[in-house]
Amino acid sequence: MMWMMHLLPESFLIFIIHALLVVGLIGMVIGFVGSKIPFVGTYATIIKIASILLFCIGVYWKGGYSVEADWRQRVAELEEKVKDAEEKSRQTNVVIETKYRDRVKTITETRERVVEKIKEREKVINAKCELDPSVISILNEAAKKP
Amino acid sequence: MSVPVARKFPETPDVLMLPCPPLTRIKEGTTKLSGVVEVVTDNYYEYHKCSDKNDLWIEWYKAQKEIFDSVK
Repeated sequence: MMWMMHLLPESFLIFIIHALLVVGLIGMVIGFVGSKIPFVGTYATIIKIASILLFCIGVYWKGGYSVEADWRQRVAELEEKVKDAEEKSRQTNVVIETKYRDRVKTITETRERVVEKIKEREKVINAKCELDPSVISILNEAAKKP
Repeated sequence: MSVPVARKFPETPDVLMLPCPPLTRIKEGTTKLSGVVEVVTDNYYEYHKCSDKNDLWIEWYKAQKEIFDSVK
């Protein structure tokens, strides 16, 4: 029976539980007090049994609903925390991307500066050094991914 | 008992998903040292970019783990 609580909307569930409790209570009062009234007295026993049954179901559901409500609250709290965490995660990604772009900018500037220096001193660099063709193949071998 | 709330794996920044390019080779027949130095500089440039990417992966992981662990 308790699994049904998962399927019902909260407001409807509260209405049903309170209705059971109120109807059960009213029924019990009528069943016990109204037993002396001629027409009601005929059905007093049935009303008593039915209203006690309804009241008991109401109490049982009330207890179940309290547990259910507690769980729903915990789920809602956790969903809120997850939402916050997702937002923090997105912000972290933005920070990381910004850091990467800044670092690449610095690295690129350094490279351009170095390349400029090489061009400036090209003649000096090449003046006293002529490379043997084996140097290129050796260096390329080192650059090749094993 | 655990609360049934689905959690998504955090998205990774696009820049970190790019693979590191292979190292640049020196053109066959190059005899000038300046040509070699330029290629070496290019490779240093790519290495530094790749190294920073690796550092940022570590930073990203630590930050995301901290965020993940904070939700209980």
